[in-house]
Amino acid sequence: MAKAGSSPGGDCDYIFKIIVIGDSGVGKSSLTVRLSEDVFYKDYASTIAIDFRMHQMQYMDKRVRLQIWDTAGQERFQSVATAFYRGANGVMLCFDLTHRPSFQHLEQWVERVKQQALPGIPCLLIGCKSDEARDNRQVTNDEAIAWAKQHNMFFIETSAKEKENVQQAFQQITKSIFEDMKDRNGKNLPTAREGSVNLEGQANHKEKKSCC
Amino acid sequence: MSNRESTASRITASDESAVRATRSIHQDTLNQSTVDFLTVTKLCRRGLPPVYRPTFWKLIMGFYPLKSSKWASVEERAVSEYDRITSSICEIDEDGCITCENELTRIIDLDIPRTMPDLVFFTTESGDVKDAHRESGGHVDPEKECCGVQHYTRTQKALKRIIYMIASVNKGLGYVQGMNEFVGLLLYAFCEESNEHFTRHIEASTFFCFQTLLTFLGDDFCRLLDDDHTTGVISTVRHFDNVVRFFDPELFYHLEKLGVCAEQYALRWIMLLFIQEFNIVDSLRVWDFLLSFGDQLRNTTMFVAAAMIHSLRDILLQQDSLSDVIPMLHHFPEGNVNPFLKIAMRWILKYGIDFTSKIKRCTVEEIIDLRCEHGLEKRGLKKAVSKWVSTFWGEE
Repeated sequence: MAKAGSSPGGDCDYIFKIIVIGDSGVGKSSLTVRLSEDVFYKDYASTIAIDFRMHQMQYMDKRVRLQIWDTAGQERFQSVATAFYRGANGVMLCFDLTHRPSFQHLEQWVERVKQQALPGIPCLLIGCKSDEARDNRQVTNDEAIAWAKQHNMFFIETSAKEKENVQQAFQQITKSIFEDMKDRNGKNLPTAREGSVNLEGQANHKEKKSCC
Repeated sequence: MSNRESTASRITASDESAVRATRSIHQDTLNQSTVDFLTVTKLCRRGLPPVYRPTFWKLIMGFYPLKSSKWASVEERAVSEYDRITSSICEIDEDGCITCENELTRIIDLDIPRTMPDLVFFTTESGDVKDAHRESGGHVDPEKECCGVQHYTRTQKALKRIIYMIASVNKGLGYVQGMNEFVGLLLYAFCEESNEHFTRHIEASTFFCFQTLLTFLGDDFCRLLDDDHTTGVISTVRHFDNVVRFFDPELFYHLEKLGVCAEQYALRWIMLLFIQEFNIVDSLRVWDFLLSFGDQLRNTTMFVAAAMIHSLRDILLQQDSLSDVIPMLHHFPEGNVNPFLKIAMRWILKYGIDFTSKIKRCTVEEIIDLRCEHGLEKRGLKKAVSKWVSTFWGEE
């Protein structure tokens, strides 16, 4: 986690790295493209390995830059994608409300997060395509909430197409990351992230201390 | 990517007589009863006029023999062989749709509309059901509509058939994302021969040429190999690291300092042979270059990828954050691809095509030694640099 005061491009107070994960075709790229470029493509080229997007936002009185790593969903690319888990500050775990198997696979995704990411990393569960779910819902709101609760995360339904809850989802994960930061400091665990390989490079290690 | 096709006009707009002159070189080459393979290679490397691309690529990939009189019979045999393979795998209805539905068709269906979606070639055909589909706005959900393919264009149906056959024939690989892009590009290139849409010949030759490509690239599609650090994608990015470290260490360490690593950008370049980086015209031009090196495709790709990043060095060295660098590498500046192909060619001529594979497993120190041997580095600097390097690489 970087407090970017000294970093050039220092038009922000914090840089958070967020990974977006979930099955292929659930709508991860649509979600992140909606956030960063405010557009929606019906058919977006499938993500190979990883894509990168940025979003600048305000949280309370803080200027936050989100570095969003949009990962490929297909099994083939997981050996690459998991390298990105290690430096992440937050996880957006996505499934498709109109495709039940993508919900059933969440356990596998959570398992990967447990193995590769920082222990207790803030996660947000996202049910994508709420617009299509009006006619073709395969996962109820209740069961998604129950699943999220059981795994200690919040749940939000989004529609990249209709711009519904996209900003809110990223606000929520940002909030969780701030709270997580506070928790860690409170419990005197400032070094929890020291061991992780930080994708932003060494500079962050130093800066992290200043914000902890 | 939205202007993938926009530069197509560039070619027709270029000087007519020059075009005619090049055409005659290509035509002359093909008119020989036994084609001179070296000439084919050279012309391909320089970039092909679209209309000659199918024949040249088929020659390069070994689909056509050098005796031009045999090409027609090769095509015929390919079609009947492809038909035989197809009928042994699945049923295809009169609309060209695969009739069965299974997990494989489901995951392929997810990617068919997502394959080069900005190319009219794939997404439209005049006056058919496709228009209705476009207006509907929703993507084809294979589970919702038992015959989702009925919304596909003819080219998308062909794309699906070929991918399905490829995944069925290569059971160990199955369908891996990226295959769709390769098949898409080949289909597009091969259709330039005739003004009409694809034919069974085009479909069959796309299938067999992609099979050939797979023999060069198969490892990249095989997850099992990832568990071994000498194979698979992780080794590919570490390999690329070494190539950049050799050709442009200053840039390499600058990027490393910013936290930029090859996983974040080069993997897509390398795995997809740059298909997602450029508009279709430039992608095909880059492929002319890559394919001209035959079974050295992977080595060539390494040279080209390193030359690409090297060509941006001035602007990259001025950047001081990952957030500025990555978008540049993910959206490579539009424009001429020839400058970095020239750099790649210069390196290939100087160091030899297999140079990049030689340095695959080199340590950082060995790379520096090699640079010294080639007069790229002064001995005195070696110690200081290697010390600095190890502080970065100690923990990996």
